[in-house]
Amino acid sequence: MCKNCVNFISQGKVGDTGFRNNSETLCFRPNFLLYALFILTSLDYMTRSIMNSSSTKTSFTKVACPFCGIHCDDLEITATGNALQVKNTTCFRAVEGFERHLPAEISPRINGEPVALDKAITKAANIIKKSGTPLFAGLGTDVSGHRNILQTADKVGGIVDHVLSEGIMRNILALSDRGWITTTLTEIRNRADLVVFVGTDATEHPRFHERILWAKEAMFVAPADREIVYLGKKLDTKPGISPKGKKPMSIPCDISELSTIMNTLTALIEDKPLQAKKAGGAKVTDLKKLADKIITAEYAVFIWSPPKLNFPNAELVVGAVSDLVRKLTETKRAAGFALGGDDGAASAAAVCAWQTGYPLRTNFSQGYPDYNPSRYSTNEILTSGQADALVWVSTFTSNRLPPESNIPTIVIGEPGMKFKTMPDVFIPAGTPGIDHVGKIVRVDSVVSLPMKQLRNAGLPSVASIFDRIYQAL
Amino acid sequence: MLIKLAGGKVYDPLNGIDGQVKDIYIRDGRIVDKPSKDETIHETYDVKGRVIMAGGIDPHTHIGGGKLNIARMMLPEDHEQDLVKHTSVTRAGCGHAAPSTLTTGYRYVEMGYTAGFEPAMLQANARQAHMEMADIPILDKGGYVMLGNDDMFMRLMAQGVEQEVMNNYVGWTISNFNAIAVKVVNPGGINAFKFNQRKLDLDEKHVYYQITPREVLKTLSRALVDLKVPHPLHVHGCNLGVPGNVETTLETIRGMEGLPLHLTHIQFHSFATEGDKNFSSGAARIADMVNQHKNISIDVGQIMFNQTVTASGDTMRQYAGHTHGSPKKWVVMDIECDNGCGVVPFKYTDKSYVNALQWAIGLETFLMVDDPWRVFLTTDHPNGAPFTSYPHLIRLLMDKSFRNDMLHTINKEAADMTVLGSIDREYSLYEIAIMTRAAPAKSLGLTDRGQLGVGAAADITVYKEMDNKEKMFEKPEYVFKDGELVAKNGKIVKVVNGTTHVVRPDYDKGIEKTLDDYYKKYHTVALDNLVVTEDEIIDEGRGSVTCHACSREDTLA
Repeated sequence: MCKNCVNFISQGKVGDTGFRNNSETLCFRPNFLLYALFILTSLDYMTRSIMNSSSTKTSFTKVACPFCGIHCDDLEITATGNALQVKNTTCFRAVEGFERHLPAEISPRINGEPVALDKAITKAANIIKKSGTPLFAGLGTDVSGHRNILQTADKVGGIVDHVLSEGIMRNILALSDRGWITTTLTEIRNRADLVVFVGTDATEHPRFHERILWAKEAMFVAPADREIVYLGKKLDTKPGISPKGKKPMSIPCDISELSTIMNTLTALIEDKPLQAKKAGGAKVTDLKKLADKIITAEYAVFIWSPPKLNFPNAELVVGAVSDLVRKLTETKRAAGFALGGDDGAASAAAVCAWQTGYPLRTNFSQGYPDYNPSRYSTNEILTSGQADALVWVSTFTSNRLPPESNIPTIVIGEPGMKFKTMPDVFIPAGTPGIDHVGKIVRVDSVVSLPMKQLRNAGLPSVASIFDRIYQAL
Repeated sequence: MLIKLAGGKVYDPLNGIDGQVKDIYIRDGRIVDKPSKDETIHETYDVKGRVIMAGGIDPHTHIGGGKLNIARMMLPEDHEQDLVKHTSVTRAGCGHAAPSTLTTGYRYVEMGYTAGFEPAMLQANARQAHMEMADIPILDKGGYVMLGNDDMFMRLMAQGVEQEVMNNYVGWTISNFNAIAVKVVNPGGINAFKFNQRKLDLDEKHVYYQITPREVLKTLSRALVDLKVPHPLHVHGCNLGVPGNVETTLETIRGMEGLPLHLTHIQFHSFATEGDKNFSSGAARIADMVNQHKNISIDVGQIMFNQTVTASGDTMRQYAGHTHGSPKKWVVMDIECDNGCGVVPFKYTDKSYVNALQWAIGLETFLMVDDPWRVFLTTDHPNGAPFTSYPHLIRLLMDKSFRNDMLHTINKEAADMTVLGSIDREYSLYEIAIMTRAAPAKSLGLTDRGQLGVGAAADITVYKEMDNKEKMFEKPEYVFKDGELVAKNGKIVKVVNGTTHVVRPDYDKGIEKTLDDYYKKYHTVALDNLVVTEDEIIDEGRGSVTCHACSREDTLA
């Protein structure tokens, strides 16, 4: 790192010598820089050679996990050739993700037949070129992947949507209707003395309780003394038992009744007289107990999971949580927090929002971004026949297969994907955080994590594939 | 490639050039001396009678980072009125109050600006801020990292550590988040709001840490002086928007005892309480105080009458202000034991007494501060107005009769409460060049930008001189970025990538042990994964980093 340097420009542009000075005073000599560059390149080459060798073990620490929206970044992983092993957690999402088998055959395919990458790219570009309105969906990739997909969609007049948009839109609709008061993981860890799970148990984020709620230390609360409450049915409340053995409060109710429950809590907090004995399937006396806990808490946090709120108009639940928190904030502090963010969903929404103004479900066919949170859903587009080609991207799991359709289909995805119908083009791609470096936005849309490269299996990144497709258009 | 701009009237305050006719030569992105006669000039632009300035530099504009992205997601209806089609050289996007990153770059450049600085980059959100800024084409950019509300800072203050420890923390933060300056927002107040404190005046104690905003300001300002960071502490002061806050602002200036400060969007901090409505202009007193204190610079944060959105780290004041917002939707967020953000849409109208007076207060401030080197032209984009209103604002400053015409259209009571109509001052082109280029460049330590001397970067704007200054500054005839023609007659003709400006002060790396321990104990991200490396910004050639020297002219005892 240069200290006391004067106008020192480091430039990575191709064709540049690497560095150039922009004034008379230069703090490093170009020769030295080229020499340093040579050493760095050699080191990089050596590391890659080691990573390729099947017998050598390489250990990585502080690895960020790409497989759920929490993105824990304390993993220790060893790589033996292309095989990875998670050393310090039993989190099933991490273990499944990192330790999944890499198929022997990873070459791209056209109609099921193995071809060279160049050929697959040309074929994919041709399908996109011929298409009037291609749909770019799935979008399970990192920030660079999203950037290059959007660049391509903008150029060819395509539509973009993420596989988890249905959940994202529950949040977005509440945000663009009334807004909210929210918080982030580190705040919850250090500040929350009451955590209310609204229709979720957070088990899709297996380490949420361990890392956030039952962390050893916190600045402003004793973590083991936190009060935990679950609202909803069929929830796994065991992780909510405190390290001291204190059981969480649980109020069973149907998921579709959650907005009624939240509105009732708001009414109770406002001290409004209630005649009913039951609200949303729950006893009002139970809700009153919860309301009292909420009132006495210093920093109550209400957690929901958009993918779990799978019923029509579920954005009303998010709105009802927002209303409750806003009511509380008139006199005290409280906050909401949305889980989710798997499959690069938070990155997809964030990048699309900063590049176009809109969070996904955006159509470029008229030359400008046209946003419609219902009409441009993957399902709606495919059933209404708005798109005439499908480009499906999914690199975090082999389980997210493209929806059935009879339009030309390109899949850029995890090499282990097993298709019912072979797509026209299949380009196996690397997973960010395993096969290449990358950046992923965390579920709170504030923090983003750098992803490491742990092996060199020869799988290209989504960003590089789309860069080449874009060049070929 | 040798380019000649022949016969333009040059306004280059950093080199003392005030409208003299001069040829400018560009080679390899830099301004060069007049070449010898036998050298081939590849391209000549006849710019006789044209006004030539360095590319504009906006030292305070919210262009990258999570809060703007929340604003974007929250305001689909605002984008709809300004959707932007792609062209053969530019990408699609949206404009107005919360523009897309792509459109932000194009519109700034089309208006003759070549650099913009994001003033509120959170440590927790720095990676995203840099990623968003990387997607702002053509424009150079940089970020001011926020300190003075993070629990790390508050804990060190409460422990009463030596100034040197604070200096090391500040130095570490600037370097490791690739920032060029430090901003503090409502010193200690964002943190206090997390403890349900609703107000924190200059000498009021934080309920938990028992420290005051005055202590925070002095410690941070001193740290930047000791670290020789060019830009003084960038301050969004206490009590934003509170009637009577002029007293706090005046006392903030007095209380610094000579330590340098940049007071940002000072319009929002210049409210007095005279009159029937207990709301009046404190601009004259502020201007007087700024004129007397050479250690102070300001930018205005001018408001314009239109729909916009306010996005700020100041959760305490954004929460309090949401009742005045429109449309009625807003976001407040506590962030990572670091900072916070509040996003509240606002519609300023000329019929509102308060809004009309805010407009007048901003203009009074511009016109009553004597030294244009210490007052920068901003609307605190998008908080006072979108940056696209700069040409209109320049006309208000340069054209007294236009200003007075506008004054007659605003709320009558507000018009009666302002001295604006009695101010004769009209800014000259030279002074506009100071406040929109030369002064921000100097303040930020960008030695080779904001000027047109030999060796400077060829960021150059060529305007057709017109009586209507709004028209003149709206669509310059030519804009060059690093020597390349990027815009012509207000339209982008070529897209290049700007650089990210940073400073890297010298500090004792021993501080990392303290930080690493703290992060391990309390945070959800490892310190190594939180920091943003230079390689990430360079990103295989998408971007570049330009590091400027840490040196200051003022050496305090």
